[in-house]
Amino acid sequence: MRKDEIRTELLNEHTTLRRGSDETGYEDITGDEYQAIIESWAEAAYAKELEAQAAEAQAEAKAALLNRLGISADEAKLLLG
Amino acid sequence: MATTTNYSWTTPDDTDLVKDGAAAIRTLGSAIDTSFAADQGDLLLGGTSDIFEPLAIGAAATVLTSDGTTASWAPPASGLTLISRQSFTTVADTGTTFDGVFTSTYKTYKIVIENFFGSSAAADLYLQLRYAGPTTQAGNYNWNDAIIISNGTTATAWANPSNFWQLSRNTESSGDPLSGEYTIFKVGNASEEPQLFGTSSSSQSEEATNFTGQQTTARTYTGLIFSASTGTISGTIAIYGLAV
Repeated sequence: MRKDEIRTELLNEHTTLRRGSDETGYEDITGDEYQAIIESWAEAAYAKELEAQAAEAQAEAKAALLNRLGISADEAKLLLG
Repeated sequence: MATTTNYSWTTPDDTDLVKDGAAAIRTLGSAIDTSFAADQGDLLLGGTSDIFEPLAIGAAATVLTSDGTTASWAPPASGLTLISRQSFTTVADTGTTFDGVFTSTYKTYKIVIENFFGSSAAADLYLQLRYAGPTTQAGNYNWNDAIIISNGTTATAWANPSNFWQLSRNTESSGDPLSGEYTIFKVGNASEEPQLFGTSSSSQSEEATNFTGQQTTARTYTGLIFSASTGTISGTIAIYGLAV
């Protein structure tokens, strides 16, 4: 997903925000602060998605290389050891 | 005018007239009222002059103790004392909920995450410190962790510096919440650089995270605030003071 898609999804999922606890009470978060929190959440979620994509691509490249060499991951470790 | 031995309450003289008895009883009653007046939480304690004296309620989390002669309020001699236990549901952060939990009463504190989950299970769990104001400390968090995954593999992560301590890389879901226990040092007493270490267990992700962190801005920190990298959080968290 693109960052703007993530942001839209977060805005739809969290139409209101609040902070606090059952014991101390809750306070609504509105206006600029609401927008800033949604933006920071979108950035964090997007960064995590890029990380996951990079890890997946790295795993695929590793599997493809092992396949070309015709050896298993354990055998590759033996070679490096 | 005659008075009682210990409290010097006024009583009628033997020669006073019977018709003045009602007024004399009212005077005596008012004197007793005044002698035993106390604020909410006060205790009546026997004093050095053989009369009761009020002992004001002690500070939060202190206990009544004895030196063999009299009683007073003091921090518990040893063990854990519950300072605050709070539950919260679908909040962006815990706000002022845990402000004021760190004081000079204790040198070390335990943070027990009884259960915790986020609206986005894959979000990171953040912890930041708060100080007088109260203000959230926004930077200079160093941390590293070692994650043991259920299939026997391990992973590590670190940040230096960061805007938060990242206690877990998964906030988990309501059906499989996260639990954890942390010890925090160098808070509440003086301007110091706090240190935190502990472990959390993610039942959904089947991961155990061993965490250690430092805050390199020295302050007298008085509280903390929980949030997630993305989405709202829910849970119950308790803070204990560790007396030694």
